[in-house]
Amino acid sequence: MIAQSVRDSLFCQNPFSLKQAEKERTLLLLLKELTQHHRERCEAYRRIVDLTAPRAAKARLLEEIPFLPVSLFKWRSLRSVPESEIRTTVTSSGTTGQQLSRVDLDAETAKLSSKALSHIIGSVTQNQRLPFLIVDNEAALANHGNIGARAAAILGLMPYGRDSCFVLKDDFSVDHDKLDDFLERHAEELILAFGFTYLVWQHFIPACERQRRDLSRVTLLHSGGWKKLQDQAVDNAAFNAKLKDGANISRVMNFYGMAELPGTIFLENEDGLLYPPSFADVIIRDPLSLQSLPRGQPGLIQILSVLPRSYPGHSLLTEDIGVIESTDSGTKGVFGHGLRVLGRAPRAERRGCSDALASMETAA
Amino acid sequence: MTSIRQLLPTGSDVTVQDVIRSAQAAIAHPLRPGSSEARAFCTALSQRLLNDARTITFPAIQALGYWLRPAKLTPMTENYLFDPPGTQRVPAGIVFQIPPGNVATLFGYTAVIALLSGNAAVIRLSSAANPEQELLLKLIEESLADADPSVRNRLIVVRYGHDDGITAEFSSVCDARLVWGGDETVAHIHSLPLPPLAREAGFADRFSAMALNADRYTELSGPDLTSLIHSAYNDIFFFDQKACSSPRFLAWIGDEAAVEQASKDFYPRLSAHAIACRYQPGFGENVAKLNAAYLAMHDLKPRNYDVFSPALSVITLDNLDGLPAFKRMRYGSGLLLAARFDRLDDLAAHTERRDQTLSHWGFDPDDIQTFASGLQGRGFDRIVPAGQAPVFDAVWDGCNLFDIMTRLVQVTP
Repeated sequence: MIAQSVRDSLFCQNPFSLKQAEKERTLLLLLKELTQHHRERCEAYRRIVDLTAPRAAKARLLEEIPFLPVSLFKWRSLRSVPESEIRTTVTSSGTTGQQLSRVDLDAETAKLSSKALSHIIGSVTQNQRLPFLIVDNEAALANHGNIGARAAAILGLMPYGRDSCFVLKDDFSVDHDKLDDFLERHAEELILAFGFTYLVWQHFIPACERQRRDLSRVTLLHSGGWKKLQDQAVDNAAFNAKLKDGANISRVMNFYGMAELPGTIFLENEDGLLYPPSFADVIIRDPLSLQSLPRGQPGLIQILSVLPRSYPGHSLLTEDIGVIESTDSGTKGVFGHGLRVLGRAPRAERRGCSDALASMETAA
Repeated sequence: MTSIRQLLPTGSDVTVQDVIRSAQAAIAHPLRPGSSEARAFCTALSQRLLNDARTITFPAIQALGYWLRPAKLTPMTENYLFDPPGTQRVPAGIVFQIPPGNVATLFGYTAVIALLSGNAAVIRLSSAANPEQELLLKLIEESLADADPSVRNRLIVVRYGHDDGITAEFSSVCDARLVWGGDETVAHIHSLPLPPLAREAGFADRFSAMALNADRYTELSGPDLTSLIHSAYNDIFFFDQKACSSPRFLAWIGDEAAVEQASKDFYPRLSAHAIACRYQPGFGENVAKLNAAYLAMHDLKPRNYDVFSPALSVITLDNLDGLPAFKRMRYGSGLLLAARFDRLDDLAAHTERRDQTLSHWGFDPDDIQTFASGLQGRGFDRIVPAGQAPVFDAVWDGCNLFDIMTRLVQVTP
């Protein structure tokens, strides 16, 4: 009960205003409670934690909270509630042949996730419901029984906007008539836009450039990974510059999150770094020793979040590489760790006498 | 049409027909199995691999050089490449080889076996280039340049992506096909037709183990202990624990107390030795290893998970129920599953066809013979002393490669 009221208090303040020391104190309490919560309800989790972190209950630092590798949710389903209580299953987007990650949300966790998201988006929109421009097509929502990452992000954000408009056609070209209508309907208003990073880069910016559009009223949120853009040697600064030049959009915020942690979103600040909200944090670990690393040293990104209650995902070691570049910089009133994501850990080379499928999938 | 890059003889992009014509031209001049010309080439190649300064950082190339010495090769050919009474051995003709992607140097062994058998070989390497492989190719080419003309044009090494069209064309003209790969790959390539009289051997995913006698271990000290630790290191880490023959399961034989005492001593030594030998998993490999370890904790309900260093993690099992399924996971880079058995023979109950190599230490020869004959084909195609697991042999996965690459002609005068 204490934990719950502490958690709720996190949603009563600006999500990026908490200083690191205070955040660590608060999260330590909440995450220890969550470790215990999942230990009691998920047998597999208890087994793993008892082997990897037998002294987890005595954790005095966030880095002593046990983690699971995020890929475990690709191979196995871990739940801390009975199956009958599951309301939504979120799956990661994956390229063909890759195993999808899945996490199960019950009503409570789903509610917490959307509350968290609303809290973060509210800090961007000053809690107004702005006209919502979606740089995607409606096909992204096509439901195959589960919610994919693109759909999850869009559906998650839609309630915080109004008059949602999908601006891409089925072939991902910009529907200029639709965009004109939308801009006309909301001629004097601020607009919230969202799109996956590569869709914005590949399809939206060039079309706006050709049309010499002025979208200075738009605040653009984007997410979804830099892999495709890194192949074209596009970084965050180049992306932002292009939006400014091509469409006169200067309020651009990248966000970083993963399908396994819906609602836990790191938001880009003016300094170009990604900040975890008050109810989440980041630890960087050495890819070999797994020891936590100090500021400035790149390593594997571990994400801590107080949201997951229906599955043991409150502490996940990702396969992304990143570096904490600043702590409590206070830029634009934003505190805590400022993260730069550097990419994914290199894939393991093929193993076994095998050159066929990715490794673990066969024994699922 | 996917391009084919010819790596040996070094050339450029070639067509399937170019390669087939070269192979057919090569076998137009017969070369007897076990020919002195092929042996001379092996000796020259051996010296080149062992003496060339560039191979110093590539122990797998040196291992091939060692394997090719006459002292090693002569007994091997006597054992496996002889003419049984009343027969004469003749080459198969054109052998098409698809070696594995995980052991970059394996093609060197299969190429040499093809030559010693008197064949022409078309060898397909998979996509990714690798410095070790490039160097080996270069050294083979240098040796071939000095070799007798009868062996010179018989090795054609090509690189192309997954292209069934090309693989099917090579298959359609070959006399023998050898395929290494994952279960799916081997099954898939089996489905591409061969000429009616051609034969085939497939080498699919395997699992390997090591058995240590705990009582004997606790009596060890000094150089004997050092030597065992090095042998175990060699078996486990030589191919980053990714070869089919790399032990991924460790069977301790002995009572609780002995195994407790032995394993407590063994793991830290093995870990330290790996680090001293500069073994270090790649970042991606280490992440994959961690993923596999957590999956093992999830699935196998182990007793312990011990991380000794980034080089070595050990998962100790009380219960082997989940092991058969877990053998299909392709974990490696320093992750061992371990369990205790009272007697070596108790391991037999947990042995299955997928098991390839058992490297053993500390047992009487009779124990090993009894264990082997007790298995009766249930599993383990190789039972070898510790340290020998990564050593390739002409008999592999239960199959004499010389037999696949030759035919026996019955001759009654």
